[in-house]
Amino acid sequence: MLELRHVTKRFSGIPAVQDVSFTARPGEITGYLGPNGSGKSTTLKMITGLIDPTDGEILFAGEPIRRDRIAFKQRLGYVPEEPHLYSHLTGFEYLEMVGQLRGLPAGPLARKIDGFLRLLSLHSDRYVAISSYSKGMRQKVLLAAALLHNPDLLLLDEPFSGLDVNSALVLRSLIRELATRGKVVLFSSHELDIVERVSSRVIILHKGRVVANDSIEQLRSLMALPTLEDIFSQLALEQDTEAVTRQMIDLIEA
Amino acid sequence: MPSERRQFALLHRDFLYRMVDLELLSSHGDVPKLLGQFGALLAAFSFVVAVLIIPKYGLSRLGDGELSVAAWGDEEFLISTTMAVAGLFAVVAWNAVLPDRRDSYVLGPLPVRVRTIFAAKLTAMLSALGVSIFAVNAFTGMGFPSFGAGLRGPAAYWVTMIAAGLFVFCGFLALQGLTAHLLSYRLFLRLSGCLQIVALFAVLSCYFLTPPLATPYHLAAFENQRLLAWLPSFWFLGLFQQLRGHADPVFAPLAARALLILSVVLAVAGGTYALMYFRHMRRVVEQPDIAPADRSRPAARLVGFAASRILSSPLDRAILLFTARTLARSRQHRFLLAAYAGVGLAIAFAYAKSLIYGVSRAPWTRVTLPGLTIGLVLLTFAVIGARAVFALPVSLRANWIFRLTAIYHPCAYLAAVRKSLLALAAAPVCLVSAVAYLSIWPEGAALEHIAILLAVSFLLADLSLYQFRKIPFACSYLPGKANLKVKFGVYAGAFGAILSAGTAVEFVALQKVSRFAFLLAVLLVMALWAARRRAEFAASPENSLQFEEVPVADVLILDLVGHAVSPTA
Repeated sequence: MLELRHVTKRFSGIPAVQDVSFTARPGEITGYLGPNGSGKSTTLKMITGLIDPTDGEILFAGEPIRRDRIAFKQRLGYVPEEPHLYSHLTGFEYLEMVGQLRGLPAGPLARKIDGFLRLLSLHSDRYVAISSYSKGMRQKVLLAAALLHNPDLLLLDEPFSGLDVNSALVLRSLIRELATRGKVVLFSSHELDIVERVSSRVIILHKGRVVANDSIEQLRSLMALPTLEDIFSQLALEQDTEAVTRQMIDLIEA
Repeated sequence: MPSERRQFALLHRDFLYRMVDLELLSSHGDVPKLLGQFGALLAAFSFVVAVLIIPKYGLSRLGDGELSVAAWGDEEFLISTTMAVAGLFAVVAWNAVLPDRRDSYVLGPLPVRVRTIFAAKLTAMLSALGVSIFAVNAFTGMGFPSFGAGLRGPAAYWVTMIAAGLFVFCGFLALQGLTAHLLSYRLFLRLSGCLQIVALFAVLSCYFLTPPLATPYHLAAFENQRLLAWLPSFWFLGLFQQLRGHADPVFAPLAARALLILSVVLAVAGGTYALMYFRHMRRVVEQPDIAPADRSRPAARLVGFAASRILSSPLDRAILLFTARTLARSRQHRFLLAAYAGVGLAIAFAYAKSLIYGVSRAPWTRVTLPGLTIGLVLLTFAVIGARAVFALPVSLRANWIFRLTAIYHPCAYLAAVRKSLLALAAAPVCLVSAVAYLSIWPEGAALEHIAILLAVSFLLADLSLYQFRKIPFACSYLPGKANLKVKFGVYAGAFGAILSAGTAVEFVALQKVSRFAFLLAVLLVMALWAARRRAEFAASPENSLQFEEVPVADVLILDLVGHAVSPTA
């Protein structure tokens, strides 16, 4: 179980995440939503240990993650929001390096990489440099790298970004299957319809604070709104989209 | 439609500032200031050379004719220096002569004609070359005596220097142009990096190994004519003498050769460059920048097999392969390493020159001080260069994967870095040295020197990696930490002193087995001490891998909050 207790992160005194608390349980898919700049990626980076919280505590399996970061990292799989990869390596070489850094033995690692590359339709491009991969191909490399070591906790930041329809469907199904096998899955996305279909519960963040944390059905009935998009608009949108559109058109045509 | 002239002016300025590979420089670097500093450095060199060589002609009692002959050596030196500067400029600007992917993506969709981009790029290159040639001749060009030739003397000087500089620069441009036309784009990219390094070594070899033939006897000697036909600085010396008038007949064929080859080089460079430019804008978008080796090839398989057999730990393999692949594919890192190797080679060539043309002319087949020095110099620069290059990042924002997968103690990573440094920098030099020494020296002496080189390799690797807490290429780099103006002189002086003392000691030690055993034992003890010191630092509990270099704070924070006692308590 992943648990955040009153987690706050300030950058030069400016709060990016404020007093965030929630729990993500094994077998559950938790959707983490919020508009741009609401603090979603910052929260995920704090959970990975890439940045430290200013205040609060993050626990995994009942243990604060800072107590034994190495043990925590061995159980963590992470897909970051931006596909920052070593683009001078090929897809195969990148996965090989990640597997070696995780200490996976050579034989099983090679078989796993080969399997992932085939299933993700990257096999024919395995010896091509990542610099010439499309955004979707890079995303697939990130996914494979996050899953190579069979992690217990999966943090997915915009995992569907750049994926074609077929790959997105596979990923959606994969996330569900991993959750049923007892993995903790926390994923952040702007694609509300996917979140609505996949997640068992959602956390909505607005200006660094949690404004909703419940199952989608519960939120629908509490707010008397039919879709997650309506709930999200109600809780987290500040701008009148119609008005902004009109102003932009005026600006373009000026 | 925007004015083409305005577009040209904007692009010319941008290309001029990007002539030197900016990715090698600090992100906070002031490009105009930096280029100004380079120009000032070249001009300072010219001033020192002018002060050293020009007064002797003014003070001499010899006549103009005799002085003119006596000056041939200095003239050849100035010409070859100008050619070396033009060559180094061509090497540094190697990747800037063609539009890169960014140019194509940014300028391609804009309403800018390719001919405008081409003209801006060409004029930017020629301006930068012109400034380099002018700077390196600023004082010698003004003050070099004309030996009775009047105004024709300085005119001949500048025409010759510009022609010599153009010859070298356009020669490399023609080489790039021909390769680009003959090969596929992918192969061209792969070969281009190798050609750049070969060009660097060629420039340094020509500059440091050109024999001193600028005397009437040597220039006229029949046995030297074939060699002179291959030495461009002597062709341009001939051209200089012809342009100044009253030239010795020995210069006529050399001047003719200079003019002929210069014309050919200019024509080939101009033609291939123009054609290449117009083709290249499209090709650069259509095809990837990097073409890694096909892993199904036997060589790639062999490397993988060797890595898996030599390094049993997956972490060691990961760091070694990442380091090797980055060095092989990142042109910035590869070039910087080549620059270190180039300096090492230049010093080694200087020693080699003393063996080839020196007074003693000691035979190659005997153990000599210069022979011992060459191996040590190359080894030192390879290790120090690789260590310096390790500190420069590649795709810095991708280093999160190392942070996320850091599941071992830092000392395991740092041990892997040490193995990578030894395998990629020290081992190749030791291997090449072993082949070279075993083929020219008696077996015993060669083996003894190789043993010394191996001990020095370990010593250098551990000394250079002491307090190094980074995975190669995965930590940000903060330039300007060291006061290079002061440190460079100190390091150079210390290196020179240690090198000459060390080789002298080794030379004496190699005369007797007991002395050699003692020297080797001392070196091994030093290497063990350095290894232990490095390992102790790496294993210290508070040690952690470094991914960000942070500047030293202007204000020291004492961090007393946790320990402070409240006055009210």
